[in-house]
Amino acid sequence: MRNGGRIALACVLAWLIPGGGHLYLGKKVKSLVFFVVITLTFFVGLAMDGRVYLASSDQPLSYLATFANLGLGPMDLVGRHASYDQIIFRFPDELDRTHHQEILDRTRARILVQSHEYGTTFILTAGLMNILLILDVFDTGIGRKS
Amino acid sequence: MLRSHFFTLILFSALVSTFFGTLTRETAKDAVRLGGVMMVSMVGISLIVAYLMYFFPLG
Repeated sequence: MRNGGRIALACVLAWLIPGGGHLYLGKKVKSLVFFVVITLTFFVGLAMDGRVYLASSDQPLSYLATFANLGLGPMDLVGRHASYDQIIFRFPDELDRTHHQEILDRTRARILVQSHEYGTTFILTAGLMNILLILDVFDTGIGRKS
Repeated sequence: MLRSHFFTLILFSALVSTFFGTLTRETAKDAVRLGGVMMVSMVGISLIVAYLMYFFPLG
């Protein structure tokens, strides 16, 4: 495989599985540490009743938070299902009243839990760490980093 | 789960320090050293800031 394709595959693997890109590049110990740390951070966040963000045009910063969550790859879908009992990325339009109210109720139920903010921070951090891993795999692939 | 704020702080610091130690250092010894310094810094600075906030009015 050409080097460009190899780097792209490594980056996709890094996005799909935390540490997957490093494993593909032959860094077995690092990949194991990354997998354990990121997965643990994410699931501790969920256990603390944290939630993944939904993009909402009323709150522009929610787009950045949603992007950070998406950095987790397929694990983000687990977070969405755990948070809202469905796979959803945008906050439903107010015109769709039933759906809007359902998501609002689920969000409120989580917010009332004492550890909610901490849990959400854990989940956000897990996503940001995985994005850093993807960038690290890219740098290693092009030879900028050993 | 995890009702202790301090334990949450320790856990978060440990996870993030382990991540950055592993990401930015090549040898295990260097990674552990950087991770340790980061963790102590994060916990220490948080405690100092928390102590300083004690003097802020609540209302």
